[in-house]
Amino acid sequence: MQLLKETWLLVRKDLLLEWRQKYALAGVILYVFSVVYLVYTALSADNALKDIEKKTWNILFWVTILFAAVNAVVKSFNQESRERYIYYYTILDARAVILAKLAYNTLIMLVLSSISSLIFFLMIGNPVQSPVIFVLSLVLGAIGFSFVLTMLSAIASKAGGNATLMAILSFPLLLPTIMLLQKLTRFAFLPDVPYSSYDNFLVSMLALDAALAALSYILFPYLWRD
Amino acid sequence: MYNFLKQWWWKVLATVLIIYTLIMGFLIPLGTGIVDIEPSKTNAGDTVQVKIEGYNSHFLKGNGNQSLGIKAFLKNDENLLCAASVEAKSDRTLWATFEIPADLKIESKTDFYSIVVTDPYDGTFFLANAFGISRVDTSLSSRNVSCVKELTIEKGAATTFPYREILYETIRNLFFHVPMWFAMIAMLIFSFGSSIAYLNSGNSRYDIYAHQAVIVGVFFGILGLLSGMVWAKNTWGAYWTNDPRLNGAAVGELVYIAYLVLRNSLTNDITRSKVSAVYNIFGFVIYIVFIFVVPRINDSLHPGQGGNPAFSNYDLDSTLRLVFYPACMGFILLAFWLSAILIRMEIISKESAFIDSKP
Amino acid sequence: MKKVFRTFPLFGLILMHQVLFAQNPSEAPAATLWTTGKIHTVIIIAALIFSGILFFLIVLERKLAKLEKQLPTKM
Repeated sequence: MQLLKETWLLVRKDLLLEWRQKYALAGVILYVFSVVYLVYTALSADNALKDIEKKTWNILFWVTILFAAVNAVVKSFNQESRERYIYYYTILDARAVILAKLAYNTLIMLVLSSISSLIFFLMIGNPVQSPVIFVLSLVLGAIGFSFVLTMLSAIASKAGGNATLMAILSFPLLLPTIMLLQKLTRFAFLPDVPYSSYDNFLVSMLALDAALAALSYILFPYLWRD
Repeated sequence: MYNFLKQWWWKVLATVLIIYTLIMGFLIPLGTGIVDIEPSKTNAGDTVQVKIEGYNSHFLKGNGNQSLGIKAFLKNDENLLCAASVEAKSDRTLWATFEIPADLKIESKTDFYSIVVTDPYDGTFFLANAFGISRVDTSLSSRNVSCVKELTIEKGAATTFPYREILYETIRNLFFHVPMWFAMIAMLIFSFGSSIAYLNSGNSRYDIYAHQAVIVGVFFGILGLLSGMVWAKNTWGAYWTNDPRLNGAAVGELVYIAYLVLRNSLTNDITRSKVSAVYNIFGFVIYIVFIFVVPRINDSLHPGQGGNPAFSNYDLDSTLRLVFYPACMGFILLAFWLSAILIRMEIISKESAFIDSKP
Repeated sequence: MKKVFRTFPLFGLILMHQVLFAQNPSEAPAATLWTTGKIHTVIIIAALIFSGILFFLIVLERKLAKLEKQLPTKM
């Protein structure tokens, strides 16, 4: 109970911080917008926007989210001063810290991916025909991205929070998530898909997310301790 | 563990197994197959003499000494035609005469038949869909033909590796290329276990194990990729294909090279050990998910995965197993050997640095 | 770099030698079989792997030499 209370307090603290420095999230959204705009201008110049393939849409979408996610999550463990972290260390349970960060980053990722999909729908087109599957993959994707990246930002922050290191560490580890997600999203472009055709992707994605959560929960205390 | 790394017996075993692999892998001959036939097509109603060119065949051995002799067949799903006469010119060339009935049932314009040869010495071998029979007179009524002689699948007398089209002798690469992958995975598992042990005990020796095992694992991964590229160029026609196994190996390299980079960018000894142990465990689990889940979803050119049955009957070939399992074991032990040397050197260097730092 | 390119024909000759050697009249089919059999791929791969291991040993040797210099007692 104490753990959940601490977690909730930390999530609230993070949300408050985010609210006070709005430019951080706004910057990431602006980043997504610029990427989409770049794609838009490049494609509309060749008049290729009309017949952009669903596959291309899919890949562009997830790659954009990937980069946005790395930008949004990288600062998780070094946005506050070192002294404050030492203070947190003395009063908080490490598990509460990681749970709070996971929850908070998932929330941010959900906001970010819904805004990105809106921008994509507006500017590049809306190929989605089964919204349920699309929303499912967005949610699972947000969870997967935030779980992997939270843990890696904790690791990278130990090495000075270097962004290159973060990229090197995270891209290979995000590959399974991205591959599963784009397979799952493919079904969102078809009308009336029976559950049995995509259930193994859904289950694998769920299992991966669960494994990531368990690993973060077990491993984070070792990182926090020193 | 440290005592095990110092022991001799498994290093001797590794040497013996690798020498065994080299000798058996190169000396056991490839099984018999058909390289080429000429002519490769005819019309229904003709009598045709087909020259069959064998690979590692012993036509004279069978024809001369055995009472049964050699049988040749043309076979597809419906029809079985047998050769009226068979004559061996040399160990490598065989002449088979077929009388094709004029009213043979032909489904499309040209039906393709596999040519099958049964030799008492070499067993049964074939060239799939190589011989075309065309229809000339469409007015004739058609019938299915089945030969009077029975086609039975026989095993050859000699111990051989299976003859596969496209692969041919490169099937021996199974004993050199595939064990690289096994050795890499063995090293990664060793490293994963050591990292867990490190986090549990805080003993810095386990951190050294984890680090050195990753170095050896990455090394074997690179060897596996390079040898795989050479083999792929010769069988699939390209150095790199978008194949889950290849992606798995490449991503493994990326994950563990990132591990080495991470280690280098941390300066404090204890922080480095802890952080890299955490990354190692985290990365290993995701990597295992990647190599075991994703290939099941995609198709693969590699045998035993996706929609590729090419190997399935041959993967279980007992002669291949006879060399393949010892080869894997040998290279895994070799990987442990290399890592053991690195680990012992690293431990000495840590301790000597300690001695040096004393005034 | 130039030197590397210059050695390529040499490798070619070494490989060719095997083919040419087998190409006396009576053995002619054997030569073609040898090339269809693709045994050279196996030899290249085995050579690659063992030269890789050799390379590893050389690196190991150099590391060890460096280590020996660090040791307080001279070997």
